[in-house]
Amino acid sequence: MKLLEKTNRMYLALTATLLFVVGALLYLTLTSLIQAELSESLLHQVDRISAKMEQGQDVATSAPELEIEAGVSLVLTEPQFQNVMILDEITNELEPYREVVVINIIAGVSYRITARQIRIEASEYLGSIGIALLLAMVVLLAGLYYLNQRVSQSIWRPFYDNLDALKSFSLQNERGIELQDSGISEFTELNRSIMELSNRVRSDFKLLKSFTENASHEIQTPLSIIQVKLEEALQLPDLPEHHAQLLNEAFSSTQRLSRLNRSLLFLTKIENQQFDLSPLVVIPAILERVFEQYEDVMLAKGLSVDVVSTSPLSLRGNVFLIESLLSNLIGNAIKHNREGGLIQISWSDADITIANSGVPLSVDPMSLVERFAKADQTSPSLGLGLAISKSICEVHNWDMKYTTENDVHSIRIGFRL
Amino acid sequence: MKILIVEDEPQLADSLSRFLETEGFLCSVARTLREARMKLDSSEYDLVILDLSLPDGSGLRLIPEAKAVNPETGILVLTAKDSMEEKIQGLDEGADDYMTKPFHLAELNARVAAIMRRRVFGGQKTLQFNRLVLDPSTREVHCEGNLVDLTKKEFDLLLYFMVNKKRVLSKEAITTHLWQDENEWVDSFDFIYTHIKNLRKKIRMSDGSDYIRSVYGVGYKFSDQ
Repeated sequence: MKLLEKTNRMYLALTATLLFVVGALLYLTLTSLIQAELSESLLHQVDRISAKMEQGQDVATSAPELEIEAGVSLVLTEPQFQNVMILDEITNELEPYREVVVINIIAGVSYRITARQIRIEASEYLGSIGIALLLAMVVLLAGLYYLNQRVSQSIWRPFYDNLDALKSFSLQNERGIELQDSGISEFTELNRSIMELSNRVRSDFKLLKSFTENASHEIQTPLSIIQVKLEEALQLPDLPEHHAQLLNEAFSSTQRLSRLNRSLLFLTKIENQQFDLSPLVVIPAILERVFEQYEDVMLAKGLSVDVVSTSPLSLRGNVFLIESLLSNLIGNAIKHNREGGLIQISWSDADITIANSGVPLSVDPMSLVERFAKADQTSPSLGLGLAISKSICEVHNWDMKYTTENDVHSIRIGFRL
Repeated sequence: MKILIVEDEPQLADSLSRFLETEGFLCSVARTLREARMKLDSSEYDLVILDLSLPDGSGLRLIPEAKAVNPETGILVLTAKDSMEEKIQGLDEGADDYMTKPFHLAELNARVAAIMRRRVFGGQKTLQFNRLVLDPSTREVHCEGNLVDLTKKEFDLLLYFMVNKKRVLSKEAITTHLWQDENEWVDSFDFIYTHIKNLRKKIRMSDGSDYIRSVYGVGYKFSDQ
């Protein structure tokens, strides 16, 4: 539930209770006031009639408004008020009346004067008060709705904008968070805390990245020395065969280490966004180059390539990275293919798919995209190829999906997420 | 022909100069920018092998200076920093080629030979091994006047072998040379095996001899003995 909604609900509940209490008070005060007024007016009427009777004038009575009875033995010191219900002979309905009974002795005769006036029914009071309050409630609701719209548009706007900025925050992004100032002290304080937090996280991350990069660079130098010395040793004349083999095994491992180091460095660089992603890259031209690179290998393995699409395809991105990506994926499609297999490439404006025949996988294909993941643990591969491919897709904001269906492996790259 | 090796790591500089001397080059080593400037002033070099991270500054600054002294000097940049910007910057400054550490000596040799072929006037433009003649500019191989029909990769492989003849070449070095090591997947060596098998067959068919020798457990050697 939104904060605004929550406060609104509480506000509405409070208003409803208040309106109810006000309505009840209004009803009580109104009924007692009107009753007092009615009683007073009845007394006046009786007084006026008594005065006329004392002057000997004739008084026309009409039931039930005025009834005069002479010669009563009842004695009343105070006028007697009460509410009664009397049957209306015309409408045949019970009508509420306020009546007063007064005993007056006029010219020695004791008269009982009963005056009545129609009073307003309780339900009528309640109805009109209810309607008025309901109207107030509706106006209040409308006002509240309007106010909310305004508030969320003006006061909460910077908050929501900042929230969007936070959601899209990425450590990969070189630019920090840009927050709007709302002029509201709570939000300003929140912004300040967010800025501090993000700056701290970013600087820590930067430090870590530069450490990784520096470490990789520092490793290159001793690796170079080991590699060069081993290579020299391998060229020694009259080197016994088994010595050469030992040296070569050490040499191979150094190679592997250096390749690993280089791949990790490459990954770091991709993630550090050290590549310009703005140029327009023509994909079929790159594919042609990549296939030329693998021409001989594919021939040797008896692979056939089926390029399904013919439409032109240009993407915004980095030529070097895209070539790496395609070379990587096609290299995989060749490496993991069977003799005489097939590689199929198709694309549209929204995606490109590279599919190849191979062996069915026993693991979830997407798990192979993780760093150092391999389908075959005995393979000499580093298990970084797909991780690098995925990183390249990520910096371009593309989506890479690896699926298998029996012996067909396909990797689909979606350009628009 | 003279080569100036500008490299601050003595162990590496030693190996480089020892290796290049076996190739018939005269080598001189400078460990700092200052030392390199002094050597460039006092003597002419055909090639400068230049490490970029030197104790007294970036080796990039040396490129225009070396070119100013002798525009014909070839420059091969060597560095642990394989960042694209530095590579482009280095080539923009006039470097002829770029290699990242760690590298193979055989690869360095191939690059040096390529620069020398391009740079030195009157230098040997073709490579010859017995009856095989390889012309890097036309990318053709002849055997006693007859064209040997090679694929692109087979040609690259033969060129690599001929530049590094009589030397044991590891499968890794060959793979790296043919596929530039851009991709992690080049670790599968059956690829080069196919190329070598085909190249061997084609040479045997035209020349009658098999120069590619397997060195058990290590790699291959191009030799007629």
